[in-house]
This record gives sequence, structure tokens and C-alpha cells, in this order.
Amino acid sequence: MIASRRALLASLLGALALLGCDDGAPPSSTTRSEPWTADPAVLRIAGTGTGIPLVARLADAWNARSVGLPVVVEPSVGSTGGIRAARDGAVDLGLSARPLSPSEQGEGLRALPLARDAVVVAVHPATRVRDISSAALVELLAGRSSRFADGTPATVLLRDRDDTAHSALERMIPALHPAREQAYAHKRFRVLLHDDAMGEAISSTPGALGPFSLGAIVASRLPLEVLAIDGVRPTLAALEEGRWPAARDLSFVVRTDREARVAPFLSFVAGADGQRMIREAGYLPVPP
Amino acid sequence: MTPLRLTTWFRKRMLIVVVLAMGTAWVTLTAGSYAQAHRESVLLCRGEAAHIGGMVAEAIRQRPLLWRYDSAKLADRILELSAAERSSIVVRDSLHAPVVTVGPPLTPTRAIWGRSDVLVGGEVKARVWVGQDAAPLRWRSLAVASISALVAFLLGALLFFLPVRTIRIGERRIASLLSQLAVSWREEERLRIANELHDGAGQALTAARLHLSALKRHATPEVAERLLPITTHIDEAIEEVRRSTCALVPPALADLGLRGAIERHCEAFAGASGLAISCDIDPSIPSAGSHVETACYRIVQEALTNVARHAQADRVSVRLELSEDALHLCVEDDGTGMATREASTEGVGLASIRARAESLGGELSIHSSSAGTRLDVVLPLPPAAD
Repeated sequence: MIASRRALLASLLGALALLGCDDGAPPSSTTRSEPWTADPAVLRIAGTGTGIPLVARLADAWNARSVGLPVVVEPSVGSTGGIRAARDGAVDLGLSARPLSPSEQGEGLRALPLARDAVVVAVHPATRVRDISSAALVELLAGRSSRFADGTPATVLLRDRDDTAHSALERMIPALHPAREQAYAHKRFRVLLHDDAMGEAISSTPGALGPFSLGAIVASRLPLEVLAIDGVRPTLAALEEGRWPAARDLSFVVRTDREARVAPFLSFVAGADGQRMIREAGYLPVPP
Repeated sequence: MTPLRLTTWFRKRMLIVVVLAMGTAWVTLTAGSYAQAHRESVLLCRGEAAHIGGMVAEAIRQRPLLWRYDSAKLADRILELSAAERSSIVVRDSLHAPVVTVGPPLTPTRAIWGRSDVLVGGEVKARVWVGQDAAPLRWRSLAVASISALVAFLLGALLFFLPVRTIRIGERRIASLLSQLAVSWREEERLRIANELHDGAGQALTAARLHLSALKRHATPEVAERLLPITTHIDEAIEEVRRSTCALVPPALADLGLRGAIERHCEAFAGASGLAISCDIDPSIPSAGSHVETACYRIVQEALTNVARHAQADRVSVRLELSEDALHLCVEDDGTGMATREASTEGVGLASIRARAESLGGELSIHSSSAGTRLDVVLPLPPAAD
């Protein structure tokens, strides 16, 4: 009798425990996912989407020459992703739109300047407006206005909070920063996480405007228009002359032990053909 | 009579059953509620993990080699599309290297976790955990436990007091029935003894007295004189038997019925005591059973004797009425009331009246003042046989 009662109690508790158990907390993590070794057959490049169209052009030209290891350009993983991939050896060259932090510099990484990219306000190609004042831009971002000067509706699109395009534009128009923070806080506008997603969103949304790379528009021949701000049109000349201060510097990031592997490709980029191709792609070459 | 004590017996056993039932109900409600809420949370976390797993799988398909390096964007996307402000979300690659960790930090043992494996090309490429703080669940369970305890207590009280009350009522009815049976048996026994005395000893003494009378007529004066004390003794014995028979069973009841017996007694008592007695008896009173009628008659006798002895009254009224299921007897005098006598204690007469009434399940109430005393006696009628 007692034994059967105990068995019943045990069954009841067991059933309750089974009913209530969860999947368990994540186990303690490992520090690295897997050891990366250099692919003997190719050079891999990954990083910010801003520079991908340019690097893809350079890689195509390099591969066409068939003089060294072929270059493979991976889809955008962002500047930080590119730097980390280079640090781990997952790629041979990272592509960054921001300078290396002191801690990253301490991890045996070196930044090699590639080009300067103008950050512009891109609009849907059907938009008739081609010029906007910085004040009107702030009003749009702050949500106090939702129309362009000609009265047509405007749809603001944002990049993620840490994207370098915003900080570049805010160097030009500081009042954009608080308006943007407010927009994030109120989830006022759609946020795109990659350059290609932003390009597609602007080109497919009538009245859309958002921060974008001039070089990416030119290099990828995207069907987008760019707005002049306060009468200054974003061109390579304006960038070169300093009349368009919204810019960011693209650079390769390489681990010192991989420098020898990438040296032929970097020489090509630094060469006359490479520099010409950078300018043709809508970027301003930066001397190495 | 020894009390039945059914209620006490039942209460002791019922208390154990009720406490066990209350405990079982409380444990079941509390544990069941906690397990159910826990299960729902786990399923919610699993669903959230599967949803995020879909995003991770898409990221892996887009960047098969370098997806984990896009973790910042992946984290942004997870934060945008999930309830990460409430949940802790952990994404690890197949070798448990951290890829994304967002949301509030949780103590592993104080959280509820749901997991989803991210399968791409039939291979587990990543795992997603979604955790929720278990504290709100515990607070909710505490609230449920409190409410369950209250509900269990109320149910237990109901489970305990309802049957106990029913048993108590039943016990009273059983005691009343047993008491009526005892009275009935006692009256039947008294009737049997009275009959035995009347038909046995009484008849024999009467026969002896007749024989002595016949003998006396033919006896010499000397013998007749000696027979005289024998005749006297036999007459005394016959009188003793008659008194005993009357004491056991009032003969008037058998001869005249309850109404006639009371009326005759009142008339005789009035003549003997000098009291003015009015007697008002409902003529529709049916035969109420020998023990009820005997008790009623005896109570009238005792009440009138009490009035004559103590009340210093001039007038007495005796009323007997019938209600649906009882006889109502009222004896009222215009005497000095019980306040002038020993009010704090009942005399033997009143105690006898009360005992007779209560032995039949009835009751006595006394209303006394300086203007007189009224006794109200209720005698339940035995249930009619089906």
C-alpha cells in the first residue's frame, strides 16, 4: 500500500516536472567558432557594403588579368564584420568605412586607405525635387514635415544607428543628429541594415529619401537621384574641393601575416589602372 | 439515556478527510497552475526562438561563409522584429561560439529557456535560445497559490460544515425518535402491568371478598366477627390494587378519551380544590397515541396540583389545541406568580412536566408574573403511519 502510494507520488511529481521543464540555458560558449586558414586558391574580401561595388569592379579587373590569386568579394557584412573577419583570418582583406579602434589596432591589424566616398541623400528617381535645404532635411527627419518643397509626399528611410553614412552627413549638418535620435526613439521611420537593402528600398518607394553612397550609385548604376543640399551638388569635384564635407574614407584591413598574400592585388589597386577605376566608379582615390 | 454522539464521531473523522482534501486541492491547483504557466512560457520562448532562427537561417543562406561576422546587423534585425526588450536572446554557431547576445542578462537558473536549432542544408548551423525571467511567473504562481488556498479553505469549510450540520439534525431526530419509543414502551409496559393487576390480583381479591361475604351470611356471630378483619384487609388490598392500576394507566383515558378525561378531571379537581377551572379543549383533536395522551393528561393533573398547592389562585383555565403536528396545552392561573416563590429553581412538579414534554420531543415554556403564571406545553404528535 505504502509502496503504491510512493509510486503514485513519484509519478505525479515526474509528470509535473516533465510538464514544466524547459530547454535549458545556453551552455558556456567557446571563444572562437572555428580555426580559419587561408584559402590557397583565392583571396577573400568582405566588409562594408559602401565599398563592395568598387571592390567588385577592381576584383573583376584583377581576375581578368589572371596574374595572381583570384579575388572573391563576399556580400556585405559591415565594417565591423569585415574587420573581425580579417582579424580571424576568415578573409584576407577586410573592407571598412571607419578607422580602426585602438583595440583593433592592437590585434595585429593594419588599415590601408582605398578611397573616399561621398555620402549623399538619395531619392526615388521619380522625385521631381533635386535640391533641398539643410533645414528642410532636419524638418523631415524630425517628423515635423512629410513633404518636399513641391508638396509631394516624402518618405524618410534610415540606416542603422551606427552606420557611418549618418555620421558623415551629420558632420555637414549637425542638427540632423538629435532629429535622427528622436526618430529612432519613436520608431518613426523604417530602418535598413545594409546598403543594398537601402538602395532597393529607395528605388522601389516613390517619394523615398535616405542616406546613401555616391560611389555605390555610380559603380552599381543604381536608378537613384541625389539631392543637392543648400545648393551644393554632391560630385567628385565638390568632394575633392572640400565643398561637400559629408564623406567617409574606405580602407582595406589586413592582418600582418596575410600582407604578403594580398600584396600583388594591393599593388594593382594602388597602380594607375586601379586609381583610374576608383575614380570612374564614383569614388575619390586616396593615395596609399 | 446515553447520548449518541454521532456528530462528535463524524466531526473527528470528517476533519481528517477535509484537511486531506483541502491539501490535495491546494497542491493540485497550485502545482497545476505553475506547470501550465511554465509550459506556456517555454512554448512562447520556443516559438520566439524558432522565429529568430528563421532570420538566422536567412542570414546564413545569404552569407554562408561569413554570416556570423554580420552579427551587429543580425542583432539589430532581431531587436527590430522580436520582443527582445523582455527576452534574452542568444545565438551561437554550431561550435557554441557566441554570435548574437541581446536583451536583459538573465541568471540561467532563474530563467525559462526555449531553444531552436537552425537547420540549413540539413545541417545544424546555429542554435537560438530565448530566455524569460521566471520571477513574474513565480509571483503569478504565488498569487494563484494564495487564491487556491482561500478557495480550498472555503470548499473545505463547506465540505466540513454541511455534512456535520446534516448529521447533527439527524442525530437530534434519532434521539427524539428513540425517546418517543422509550416513552411508548414504558406506557405499554405500565398498561400491561395495570391489566395484570386488574385481571389477576384484582379479580382474585374480588372473588375472595364475595366468598367471604357469602360465608359471613351463613356464619355464627362469633365466626362472623372473626371474619370481619379479614374482610377489611381484603377491601384494603382491593383498594390498593385499584389505586396502583389508576396510577399506572388513567382509566378515564380508556373510558372517555383525552378530552373527556381532562374535562372530568378538571370538574373533579374544581370540586375538591375550590378553584374555578375553565376547560376549553379543541373537539377536533384526534387520538394522539396512548403515550402522548397519557403525558398530556398527567401534565394537566400535575399543573392543576401545582396551582392548588402554590399559586394562591382563584381561577385556572385549561386550553388544549391542535396544530398541524403537535398538541398545544396551556394552563394559566391568576395566582401570585412564580416570582413570589422560588423562582430560581423549578419544583418537582414543573420538572416532571418538563421531563414528560421533552421525553416526547416537546417543550415547556413558563411565563410568570405577579398577575399569574402560564405554562405552554408543546407535544409533537407521532408521525402518521403510511
